[in-house]
Amino acid sequence: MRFAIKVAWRYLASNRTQTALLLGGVAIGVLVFVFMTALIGGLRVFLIVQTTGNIAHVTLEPPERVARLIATDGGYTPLVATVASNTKRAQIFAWQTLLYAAETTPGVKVASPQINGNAFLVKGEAISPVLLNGLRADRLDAISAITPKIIAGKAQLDIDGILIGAKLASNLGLRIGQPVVVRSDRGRVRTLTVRAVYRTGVGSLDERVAFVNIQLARTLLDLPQGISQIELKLDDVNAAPGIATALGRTTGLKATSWVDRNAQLFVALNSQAQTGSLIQIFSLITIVIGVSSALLLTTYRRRGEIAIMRSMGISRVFVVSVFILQGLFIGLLGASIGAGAGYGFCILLANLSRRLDGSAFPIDPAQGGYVAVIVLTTLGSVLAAILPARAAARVDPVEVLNQ
Amino acid sequence: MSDVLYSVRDLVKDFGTDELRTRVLKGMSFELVKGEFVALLGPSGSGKSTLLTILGTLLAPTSGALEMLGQNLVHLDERRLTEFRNRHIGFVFQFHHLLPDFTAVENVLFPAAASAGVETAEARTRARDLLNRVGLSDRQEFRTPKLSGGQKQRVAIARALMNHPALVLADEPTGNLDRETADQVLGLLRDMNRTEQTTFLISTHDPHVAAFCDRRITVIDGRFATEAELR
Repeated sequence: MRFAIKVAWRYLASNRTQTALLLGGVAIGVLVFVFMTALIGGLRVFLIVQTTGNIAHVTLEPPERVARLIATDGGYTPLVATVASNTKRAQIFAWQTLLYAAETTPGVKVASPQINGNAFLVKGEAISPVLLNGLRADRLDAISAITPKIIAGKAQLDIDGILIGAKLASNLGLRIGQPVVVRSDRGRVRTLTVRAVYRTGVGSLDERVAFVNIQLARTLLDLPQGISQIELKLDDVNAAPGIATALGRTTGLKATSWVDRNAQLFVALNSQAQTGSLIQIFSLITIVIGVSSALLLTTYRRRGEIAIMRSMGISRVFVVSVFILQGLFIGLLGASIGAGAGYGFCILLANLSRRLDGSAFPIDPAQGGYVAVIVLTTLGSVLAAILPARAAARVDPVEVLNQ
Repeated sequence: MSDVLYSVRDLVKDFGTDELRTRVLKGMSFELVKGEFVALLGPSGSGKSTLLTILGTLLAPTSGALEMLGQNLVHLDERRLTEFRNRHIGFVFQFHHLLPDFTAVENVLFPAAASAGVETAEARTRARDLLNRVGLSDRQEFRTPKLSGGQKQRVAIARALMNHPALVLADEPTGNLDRETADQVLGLLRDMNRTEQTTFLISTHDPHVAAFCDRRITVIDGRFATEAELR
């Protein structure tokens, strides 16, 4: 085998232009593969971070009241059933215990108890419907970082203050320190002071949501004991479905992960990944065809040498291994060069992206799939060499030498 | 112990099929004795090259018996024939057919290294020794395209002898050389025949080459020439 390696290497080294072109072709194919893998991986992370950055990773809500049969002993036909009631308010009772259970669950970064409900903000004759979001003052930024998005005033969730979005402030003509009347859907009315105005860039949040202290929300929304929901942020967004299932089982609440609430995002991400896979597959096919055709030409060019080897009593196995080894070298070297160049290219784009706004090329050089592409390309290249190697092994020495 | 190296009985070789069948060798029988230096004479198309390729196990006969070193060659499979050829038979062609990407010494040791899978020090020593004996001690590390025609043919002779073959089949080994170089090459073949005890069967048109040999076999139209034909 060592001598076959020497012969294969010598053949590649003897025709430097062809070998350089071949390696270049393989390297470019690998570079495209690495670029696509890093881009799709980076884009996935970017979109997930963008999506999960300002939303709860897991939401715990009151369980749905589902009509069910009352169980009987011995399998008799039940005569009584409970029917779902929509007349009772959905709320989480004994929430302090459940909050503690959620907060102490491994993987949970922070938990935010909330009381939510509908209300109207009234300023003179202007009225605007809002979703009142009652938060604990120390958890204002727990789920969505509001403080960094405040454009006027201070992030202060006191007992008579309210935080509103820029669009809402504009619609009602409100400024910091001005009073605004809040009329909840429970008929409670309070006059609050605008403490801060924020701009998130999300239209619905800037126009239809207002943040108040949870104690104030309790009064306004007439919920003396329970809370509406508990929102959780996790250390790892990918763990959300698992943690949601576990918490749903242990707390008896309806636990929903962000994945369930953003199914469309995953449809888009998967569709994008499939497109990327197609491009990667075509890159590999191009490499295989390129290597195979180049080696076939080499086989034809070296027919005389193969014939003389066969006349020396050198086995077909040796001839085959020389060509397979050439495929191996081309694949391994070309893929290594391409992977290195691809990594450099991705780093360059990532730096460029950082200098711009971060979303120009959301590429992640760490996700280039380098080992996979080197292994796949080398295997593909070896497979590509099989056809030329078989052609070489079939060379009839008598026919060639007579020519 | 018999001195017969190669025994050929009723050798027939046809090319083509059915009505296009052509019989090139028409039932030849002969023997080669160990250490012989034999000329194979005959006009172009007489079947000399076909005979050499069959003797060299590169081509299977249509019928007949071939036995070399006590081994029946007709029934060996392709892999065993290749091994047999590697160990016992060397070839020298009119056109040297050297490997251009390798040096002279690498060309010579190629048959040994390729069959063993490694280039041993022993093989390299043998290759250098052979090149010294053919007068190329100062050209051992030259790539073969840098050698002259005569030098290339001498490398080809050294290569044919690398594995200590019992038989060397030479097809017009001097056909492409000038008279002076041809004589040098023939002298070399004769010298190797004597020192290595290798049997040589040399196909040639050239009476001058035939004169160098111990015995002459003439092929005419696929069979050995009769006395009358030779006269």
